[in-house]
Amino acid sequence: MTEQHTDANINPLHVMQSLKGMLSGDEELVFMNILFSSSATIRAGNFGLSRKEVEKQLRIGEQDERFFSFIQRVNQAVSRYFQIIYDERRDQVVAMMRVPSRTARSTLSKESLAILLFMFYQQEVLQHDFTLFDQLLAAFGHETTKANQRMLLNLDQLRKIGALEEYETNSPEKAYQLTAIGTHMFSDSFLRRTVEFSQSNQLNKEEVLKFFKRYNLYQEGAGE
Amino acid sequence: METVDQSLISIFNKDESAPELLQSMRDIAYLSGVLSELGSQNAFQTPSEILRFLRIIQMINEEALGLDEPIENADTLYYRYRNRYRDPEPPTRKKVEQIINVLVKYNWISKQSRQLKMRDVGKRMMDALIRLANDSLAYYMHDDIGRSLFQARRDAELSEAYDDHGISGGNKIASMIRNVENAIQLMKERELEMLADRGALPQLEIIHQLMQELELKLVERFRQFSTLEDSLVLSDLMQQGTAVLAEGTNLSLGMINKYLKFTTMQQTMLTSTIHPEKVRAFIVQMFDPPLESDIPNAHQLLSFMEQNQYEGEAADGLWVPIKFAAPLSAEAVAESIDYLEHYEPIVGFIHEEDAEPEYIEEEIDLEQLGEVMGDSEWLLTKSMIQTDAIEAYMEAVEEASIEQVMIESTSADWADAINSLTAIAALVGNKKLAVAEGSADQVAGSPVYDKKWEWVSKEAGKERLRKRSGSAMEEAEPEKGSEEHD
Repeated sequence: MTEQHTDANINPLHVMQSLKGMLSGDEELVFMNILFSSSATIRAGNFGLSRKEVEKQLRIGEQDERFFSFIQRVNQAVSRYFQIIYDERRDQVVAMMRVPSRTARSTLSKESLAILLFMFYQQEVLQHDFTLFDQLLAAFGHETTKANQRMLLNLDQLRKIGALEEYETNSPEKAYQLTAIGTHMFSDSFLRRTVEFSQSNQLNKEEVLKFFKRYNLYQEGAGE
Repeated sequence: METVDQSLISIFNKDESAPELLQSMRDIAYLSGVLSELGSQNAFQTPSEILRFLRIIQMINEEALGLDEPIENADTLYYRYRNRYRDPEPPTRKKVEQIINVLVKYNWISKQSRQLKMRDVGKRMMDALIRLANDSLAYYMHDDIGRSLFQARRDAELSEAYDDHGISGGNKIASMIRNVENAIQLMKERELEMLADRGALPQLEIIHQLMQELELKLVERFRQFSTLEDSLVLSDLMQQGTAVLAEGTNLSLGMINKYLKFTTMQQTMLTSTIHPEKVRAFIVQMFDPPLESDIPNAHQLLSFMEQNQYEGEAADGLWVPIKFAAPLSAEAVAESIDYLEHYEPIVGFIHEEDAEPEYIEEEIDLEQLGEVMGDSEWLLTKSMIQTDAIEAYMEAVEEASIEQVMIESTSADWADAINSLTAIAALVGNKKLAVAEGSADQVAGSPVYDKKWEWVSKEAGKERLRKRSGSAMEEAEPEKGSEEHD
């Protein structure tokens, strides 16, 4: 079996074989637990494991560098298919899977994606803490009827997959904040195409990633 | 137009017994006769045989139009056929003969000693047949969106060719609109696919051209019909038609715009400046871009990525949080299947309580009878007179003046006073309470109430009420006491 795989390295899943070299046995188990970290219900916030749980399973102490080392190594090994992210604010270690363009069309509505992109731009590029519901309405809702309802419906889609959550403020205004899931959802290629369309110009991928402040996330050999 | 004030010629409007109508129906009968006669020959079942037949009548047709030499007999046709068409299996001499005979039988051609001559019926029927075949051919040369649009254009042309000359071509405008609608529906369904397909641009352009042509044609048609009397009937169609065409053109135009922007972008230079305000504007627009704009929405953008123009782009759609359901053991699956199969909803048992009265036989002494009767009388009284308040009050104070009891237990109101007084009377009558003269100091010590009524005599109400104990044994003594007081 192994022989065949090495001979014809056309099967990209072959890279999974290298997991063993990058992770210890315990770490492998934890990675799998993160993938399985669910009951059958899908609710916002019900993704992944807490950091404490991961640390417990890895048998390492709190605030240990080894926690981040583990995440980094998993990501290096499986980056073509999965990535593991740690949402510090919500204390979740979540696995995300890469979905090809064709399939991605059916994951979220086009409106949801536009809203997410808008918030992503505001919060990642402009570094706002949150996006007000009013801002979304002002940007998107001016031409359509039932704008309010449509907006809430699409926001709910995003909330359900844990891409955003309501931002707690004292003011009566409704505000939303992206979660780590939300900031990681757009693939580099998608961002590049978006910006290219907006500029009507071809762009260098690095420039786009820099624009979205993703340069520190971009690792060599990770995204090609 | 000369036809403005007369309605179109149509078989459906004509008097049934008109000789022209009967003649025209007979034409159709000849046509079907020829077809069925040929159909009954088995060889004629294959499409290529039909083509051969059409070729033969085409040659006869051409002769009739003076484009070719006269045809002497079936042999001439046979040789001419072999000469003209490179057919690996040309029809045999016998076959040609057969066809000629059928055509003669149904009056399409006349057979004279030295010439085969086309008759009028034949000319028109052959025309119709060949046109039919050519129409189908043109139809099938388009893809599915193109077919609907082709049919729509054809409808427009037919409508032009017939209606303008006073001959009804059927409901061509309605059919045309329906065809355009179908095409637009298909186009919407396949929009994402078309954007994802790198070679779709020429196809898009064809569709767009068709849409534009159709729009022109339809508007032109409507303009002519607007002078006709039946334009009222058409106004609905007109609205529907223009709306559909506008939508269709916008859709096709939008697809082409997006496509062109996408492809021309590939030829621009690599730049490194990004204008944030443009990014923002683009994101805002992509929420719900108008049909004809060159802004793709998020799904269309993903469709473009499917082309994989940048390497790995097609695989790099989105990242989505995932959770794999933990595997289920076979045992758990079996258990739940068993549960589902044998599940019986638990329904609460319905108790039917028989409300049949039970009769109990009891024997009592004659002495006790008075007491029992008194008890039941008391219960009856109690059910009519509200004594609860007095009883409760007396339970608490044991002894008080009548006036005090009446007011303290309820209120100083007139109605309550009547009620209380009857209640006290009932209680005393049933030996629950006892009445006694109050001693002088007791009378002086009783509080004065601000009441809404007055006693008749001043002394009334000063009498003391005292509670009697319930049991018969203890009752004896205080009863005597009270009697002494009386």
